[in-house]
Formats: sequence, structure tokens, C-alpha cells
Amino acid sequence: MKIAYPTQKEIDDSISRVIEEACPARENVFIFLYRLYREIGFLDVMHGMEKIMVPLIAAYAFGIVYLANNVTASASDLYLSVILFSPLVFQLLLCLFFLGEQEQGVYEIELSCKYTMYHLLILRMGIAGLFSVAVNGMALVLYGVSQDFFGGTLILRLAFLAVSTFLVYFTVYVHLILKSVRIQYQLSLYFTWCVVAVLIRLYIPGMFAYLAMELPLLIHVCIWGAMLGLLMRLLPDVIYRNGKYNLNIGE
Amino acid sequence: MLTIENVSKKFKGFTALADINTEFAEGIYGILSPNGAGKTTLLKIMATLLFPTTGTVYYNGTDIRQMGEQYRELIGYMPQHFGYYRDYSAERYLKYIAVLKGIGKSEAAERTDALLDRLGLFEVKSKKLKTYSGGMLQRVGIAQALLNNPEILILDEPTAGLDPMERAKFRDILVELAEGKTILYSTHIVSDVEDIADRIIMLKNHTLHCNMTVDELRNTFLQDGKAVTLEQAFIKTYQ
Ligand SMILES: Nc1ncnc2c1ncn2[C@@H]1O[C@H](COP(=O)(O)OP(=O)(O)OP(=O)(O)O)[C@@H](O)[C@H]1O
Ligand SMILES: [Mg+2]
Repeated sequence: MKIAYPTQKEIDDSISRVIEEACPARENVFIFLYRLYREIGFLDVMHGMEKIMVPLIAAYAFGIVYLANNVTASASDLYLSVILFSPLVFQLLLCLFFLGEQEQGVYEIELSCKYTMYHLLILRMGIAGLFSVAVNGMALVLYGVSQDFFGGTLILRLAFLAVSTFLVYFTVYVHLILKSVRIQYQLSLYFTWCVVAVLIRLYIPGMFAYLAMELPLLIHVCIWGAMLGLLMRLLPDVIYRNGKYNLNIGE
Repeated sequence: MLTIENVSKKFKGFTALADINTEFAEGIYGILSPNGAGKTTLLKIMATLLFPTTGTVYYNGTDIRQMGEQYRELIGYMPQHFGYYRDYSAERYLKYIAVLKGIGKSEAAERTDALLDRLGLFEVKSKKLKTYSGGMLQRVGIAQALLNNPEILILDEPTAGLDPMERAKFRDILVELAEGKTILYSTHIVSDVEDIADRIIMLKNHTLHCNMTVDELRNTFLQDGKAVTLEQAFIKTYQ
């Protein structure tokens, strides 16, 4: 059998195909997500969730101010509450997203598009995360003002701890999402988180004091780096639905 | 060309699809079966909503799951029960889906208007979806599937709830579109596909019963030496 010699175009095409398949250009996942966010836009990412966010902040801020004025807390109570509260807004918002998604059943179409609801999910996690950090930051400042804490390093430490705990929670959350997206599991995760923190505080006070109150700020920064690195590796798995249960919402 | 190889799907031990092997080339494929035989499950797998428990679906030799975005760019999917944001207008909803499909803004606006016009929704395009009738919503569902002018169109009972005029119009649209495309069309309404389908897929007992042309199928069952109608063939198959 005689095989025709390939044309230059065929040669070029197959070379570029081999290169493309062998070494796909990897864009940083955060840059990709930012570009996607710009493309989709805030309102379409949030789907009416922005309406829930306003009362949520209001209730949250009110609660914090109320606590600040009516409860005298020891320093370790403060640290504990930072650990308990920093993932709360994030987790609540995401549960609401899932509820909305389930209730409206829009995910079937969203899953069949080029960008699926898992792309949306990550954008929502990002927004819920930023929002959570902002709300908690504001709460800390409010608290600091009402208690005249400014001048001390306490607020700074609390802020570092808040960011660290949030990023750790975020990373654990993404692991969970890769196993199952069920809301019950998400709520159990938050519940377990709180129970573990309280138990450590009560029964291993030395460890609590070290981890929450005395950890050098540099180590906090290292934790941020490590968590962001982990997230960078995990988030594409969410997008490409590489989880154990394939993240199949409809099953 | 889509190739389905040894595909099965289990839900917690319940087998919804067992060992399907077949191929879809260009053309309209009518997918028929009684309720619960697995049409929706098969179409969800073709749309990558579900991943098969075993087996693989290939597009021109490449695993569609591996293709990911590249594959989803080629498809349009209309679910059997389609959800929508109740406070969106048809126009906003379609533009939103267009963004998810990666279509540029100006092209999206053009496609949206053209489809709304074609499906008789142009006049009501800025009304909220919650004010739409069932048949109007169904047409929005059809419109979103066609937004990216897909090479593979996956339709799960697209005409449920449409009146006879709209059904006829939908058939015309499909026939017009079909050139060079693969259309998978599941339905209970045999007459919807009888005249337009190139081939008929039948599922029976959660597995593939046949993939043949309409005439082949009608000739399988002869009555007084004459081929039966597709409807009769359907009934005889499942009796
Ligand atoms: N998520 C699920 N969990 C468990 N069982 C399921 C699930 N989805 C489908 N099934 C089962 O799988 C079988 C096939 O369902 P499927 O929806 O694919 O049927 P169908 O042919 O589309 O039916 P219909 O004509 O009524 O639309 C049914 O017996 C159904 O009960
Ligand atoms: Mg069905």
C-alpha cells in the first residue's frame, strides 16, 4: 500500500496537536477565575443572593456590636470566637447557594454549558470568602473601637488568626466538596469545626493558647501560603469534577 | 461521530442502564422507550451531567469526559424538566446562558434575538419567566439549547406541553438545523419523530434494543405483508 506524503499543513497541524496535548498551557487557576468572573459578572454569579447578603451583614454586625457591649470576654474567649465566626458567613452563604440551586433545578442546564455550575461554585466560594473576611474584619474593628483596644497588638493578632482559620476552613471545605456536595455534610463540617475548637479550648488549654494566641505572625503567613497553594491544586479538581463521587449533584 | 462503548449506569445498586453499545453519526435520532427505561439517564450521560458507572462515550475517538469544556462547547442540551431563574426575563436568561456557553456579547445578543423571534417569544422577551405558560417556558428551553449553534443537540422530550402548531414549528426548525448535526431526540410522541428521524433508538429493560432506520423498524413487523406504522412497531416491541 502506498501512503501519500503529508502536506506541510498536515505536518504542522499534527505537530501543534501533539504539543497541545502533551503540554497544555496551564493558566494560574486564580487568574482564570478572575477572568471568568469578569466575563460572567457579579449579578449573574450571585443570582439574587445579593438580596440575602444585606440582611445577613446587618444581623451579623448587630450581633457583634451587641456582644461587644454586653459580654465581658477574656482574651481567650475572643480568640475562640474568631475561630468560630470566621468561617460562619462563608459557610452560610454557600449553603444558601446550594439550596437555591437545588430548589430551582437550574444546574442541569448550567452543567451542560462550557462553564458549568462548578465554575460558578468556585466564583461563589471566592465571593463568599472575601465577603466573610470583610465582614469579620469590620466586626473586629467595631469591637476594637468599642473596647478601646487600639494601640495593642491584640487586634492585629486576631485579624491574622481570622484569615488563617478562614483559609484552613476553606481548604477543608473544598476537600469535602470533592467528596460530596450535600448540604447536611457542609453543616456537619461547620458543627465539627466548632466542637473541636471548643474542646481544645476546654481540655487542652496550653495547646489552644499556643495555636490561637501565641503563634508567631510569620507562621500565620506561612499557613496562608500553604493553604493558597493547596487551593490552587484542589480548585481545578472541582472545576473538572474529579472528585470521588464525580460531584454529581443530580444523583 | 459519537461512540458509546459498554456504558452502564447504576444508582446505588439500581441499574438504570446496562451495557449500551452504539454509535451516533450525523442525523436525527429518535429515542423511544416506555417510561423509566433510561432515556433521560442516557441523555444526561451524553450531556456529561452524569458520568457512566462503567464504559466510555467517545467523540471522534476522544473520551468526552477528557474533552470537558471542548466537548461541552459542541453540545446543546435541553433537560426533561428544566429549571430557570424565576425573576429573569427570557432575554436576560438566554444572555446569561450565552455567557456560560462562552459566547461573546454581541454574538449572544444577535443569537438571542434571532431565537426569540424564531420561537415566537420576541414580544414577551422582557417579561419575567415566572409569568410564562408551560409551553412558553418549553420554548425558552429549546432556545437556550440552540444558542451556541451546537453540533450535537440533545433534547429530552422537547415538545412536551407544546400545542400542535408549536410542535409543527419545532419540527421545521429541527429539520432546517439538522444538516451536519447529530440530534438526539427522546420522546413518547412517536409521531413527532416518525417523519423527521433518520434512525430510531429503542431502549428496553434498561438496555439498547435497536438502532435502525425508521423503515427498517417498520419492516420488522409485517401485518398482512405490509410494514406497520412506527407507532404500531413501538407497541409491538414493548408488548
Ligand atoms: N438519581 C436517580 N437515583 C435513583 N434512580 C434513578 C435516578 N435517576 C433515574 N433513576 C431510575 O433510573 C431509571 C431510568 O430513569 P430515566 O429517567 O432515565 O427514564 P426515562 O426513560 O427518561 O423515563 P421517562 O420516559 O419517564 O422520562 C428509572 O427507573 C428511575 O427510577
Ligand atoms: Mg425521561
